[in-house]
Amino acid sequence: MKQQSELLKSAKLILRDPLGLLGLVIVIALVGSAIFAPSLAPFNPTAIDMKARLSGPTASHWLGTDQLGRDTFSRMILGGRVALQVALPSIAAALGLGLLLGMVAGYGPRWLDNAIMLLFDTLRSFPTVMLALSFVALVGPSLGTVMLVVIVTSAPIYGRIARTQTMTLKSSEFITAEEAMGARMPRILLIHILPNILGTLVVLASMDIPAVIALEAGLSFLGMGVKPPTPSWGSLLKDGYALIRSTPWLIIAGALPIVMTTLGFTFLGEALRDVADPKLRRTR
Amino acid sequence: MSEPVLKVSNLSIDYRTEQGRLKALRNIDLTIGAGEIVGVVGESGCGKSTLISAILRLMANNAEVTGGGIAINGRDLFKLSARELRMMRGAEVSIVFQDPMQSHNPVISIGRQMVDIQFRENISKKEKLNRAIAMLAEVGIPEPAEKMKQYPFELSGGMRQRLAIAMALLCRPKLLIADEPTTALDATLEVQILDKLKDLQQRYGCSVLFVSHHLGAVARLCDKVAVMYKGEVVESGDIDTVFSNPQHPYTRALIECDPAGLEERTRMLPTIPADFLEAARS
Amino acid sequence: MNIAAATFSQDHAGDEALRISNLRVSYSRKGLLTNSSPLVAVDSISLSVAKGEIYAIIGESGSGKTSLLRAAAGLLPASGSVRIDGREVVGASKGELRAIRARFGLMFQDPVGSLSPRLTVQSIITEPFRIHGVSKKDMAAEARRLLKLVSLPEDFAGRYPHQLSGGQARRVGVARALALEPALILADEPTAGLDVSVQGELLNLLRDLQEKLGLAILIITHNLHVVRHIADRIGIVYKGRMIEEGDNDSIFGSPAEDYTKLLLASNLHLKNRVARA
Repeated sequence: MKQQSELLKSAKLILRDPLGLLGLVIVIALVGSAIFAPSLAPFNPTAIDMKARLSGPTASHWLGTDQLGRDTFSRMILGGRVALQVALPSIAAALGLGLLLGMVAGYGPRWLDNAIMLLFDTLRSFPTVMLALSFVALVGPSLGTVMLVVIVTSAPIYGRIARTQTMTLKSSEFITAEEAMGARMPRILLIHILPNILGTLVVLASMDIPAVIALEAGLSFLGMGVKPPTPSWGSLLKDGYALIRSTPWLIIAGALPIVMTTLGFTFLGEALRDVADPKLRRTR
Repeated sequence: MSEPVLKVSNLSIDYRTEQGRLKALRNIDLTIGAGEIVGVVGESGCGKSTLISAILRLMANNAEVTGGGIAINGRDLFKLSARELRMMRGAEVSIVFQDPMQSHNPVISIGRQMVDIQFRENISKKEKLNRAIAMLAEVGIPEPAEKMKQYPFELSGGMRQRLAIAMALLCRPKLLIADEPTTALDATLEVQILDKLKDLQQRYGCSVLFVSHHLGAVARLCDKVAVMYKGEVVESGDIDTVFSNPQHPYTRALIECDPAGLEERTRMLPTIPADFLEAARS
Repeated sequence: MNIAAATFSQDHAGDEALRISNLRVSYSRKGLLTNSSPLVAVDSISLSVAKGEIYAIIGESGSGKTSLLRAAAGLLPASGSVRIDGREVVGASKGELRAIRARFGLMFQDPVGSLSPRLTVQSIITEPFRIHGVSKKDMAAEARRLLKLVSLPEDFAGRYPHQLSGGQARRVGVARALALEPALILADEPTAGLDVSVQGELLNLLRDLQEKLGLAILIITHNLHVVRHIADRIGIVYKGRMIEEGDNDSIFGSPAEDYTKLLLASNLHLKNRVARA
């Protein structure tokens, strides 16, 4: 029997799970539309056309236009860029950082655990918006600032979960077995603990992606994220909220992609967790 | 003759799995009369656990009864309503598990758990407490009144198993199911617990279904035995008859394998290969 | 240690796979208000296991036998001395301990739980090579060799721990313990959780390996009878102390201590019933 590579096997297993497949399709569509946004968008998202303002869906403007006559569909497509640019790298960085610190805290000596926990608690004790404001004051408003805020506020959450799970695993017999064979800490953490806790955290992180997109929207609203006229789902929602009596289409264009992103990443995250755990793998 | 306490007749249970149907039990017949102690012996995967879960009607979601039935005190178990089932569990049937640590609530004191379990009794709390203390003394737990304030984890393994037996007997069940109750215990304790169980059974007059993989324990306690292998009862009968003159090759192999039975040091211990029966049949 | 004992240990150091002298393990009992004395789990136990010998330690729960094994493997702080292959474990530095750990194999109580759940059997049994940086050109071939040693089919290399039965998982544990070709195996309740029929298989396997590879094996168990045919020497521990030690036949034939007699008498077997009836 030919040995299949682990990656190929995992890919096949995701494809066999209908929800996982759906999640994968949504995520690919999102990422694809973000990458090719300029060529997919039928209009320039910042082009103002006062004659066509606040129209409903038409043959040319599929999702209508806003109060300045800008094409909502194009703004939605371009908005995905901002969303993913902020959400994906910042969540990935927060996850990586949280995992690393959390596992070291959970497995390492007591003093290191205390030190890391103190850091996490300090960071968490700042309200997110306060933290964001102080960052803006220090480094100025930009996408980078939003990302920094996300990393600083999310990493401690992942870190705490990673720490608790590591502590549970630390006393299990297979970890003692590794120690008794003379395995060093990096090996125990990366090869034996990480695969057992990654699944839960990836699911959690994928469910956080839409929350980050919402945070970006909130910060943009406060003038600390994306500056107008750059389109983002958050600014679509904000405008739509103000214009809800005139047209529902802006809110739809802002909310629909956020809902789709949530579902897409959640389904994919759950499928990834099942694939990562041989116990949950379905055998034919 | 009076109604048997437990009558399992021709019971077959399948598990539906992704790989297809798995036959967990095949045409099981088992009868326990009033005041009888019946042992069920078998190794892992023989269907013991499925049988117990069926008797308690706590079967896994993918389990399906494909034939036969179970009657407890003459009533068809599969026809009971949810309410009748609740009344039956605890009042007529009690169970003692292998790991008493996991079957007791760790954050509630022993006294409260033992009072709570008598919720069906129409007596004062004070009386319930006194009954609980008396029962702890019965199962041989020293200083029973003091123990009321303690928590299950504060007891040693042997004491916890005594506590489990005490709680099971508090409801004065007609049938006590003991699921490998001595497997986790040391040999010296195992003997004590088995003897206690036998003594209590005689005084309370309940019937006992004793499930174990340990032949010696079954021999010590039981009147009758059923040997299970791969979902079937391969041999059953009076314990002295079965063990002194085993008819089925699996029973014989099981007896040979017991290291406790070795008189002399042997070079190789006897074992049972996985395809044992197939080999024996051909 | 007195002078005579010291000379003795030097003379015999070459024939010993394991020598434990005056080993003591204690746990501090911290309470908020109580200041009780530490709990002594292992109280000055001494024993030695010769090369190629199977030594069984018998004790019931709470006797300190597991603490003894863990201290011997350097997993618990202890005082006294544990020499494996002539090297001191007690007080060894991290680096020294790593080097010593390449020289013995350890088997754990929980057959499935002691195997890393996300790894395949092949990765699990070749783990010692990677830990100790032993380069093997062909890990798959090494895995096949180890599986063959413990009589498991080759295609088990691709399985995961949860797909194994208790007996199979235990064999995988044996294979892993043998990977670096140690002279000593420490086995914690090797038959725990196994069916009677499989128990025999495992003990037979250990006996075979001991003969074929000249292994020394220290077995810790609560069941005196499972070591009847396999152990060369037996030590009985009770409340942290070694109360009786002797060769197999003398322990079974003429036990000196009452506790040992009680253990022997707690032999639940069919013939006892038939005799009683």
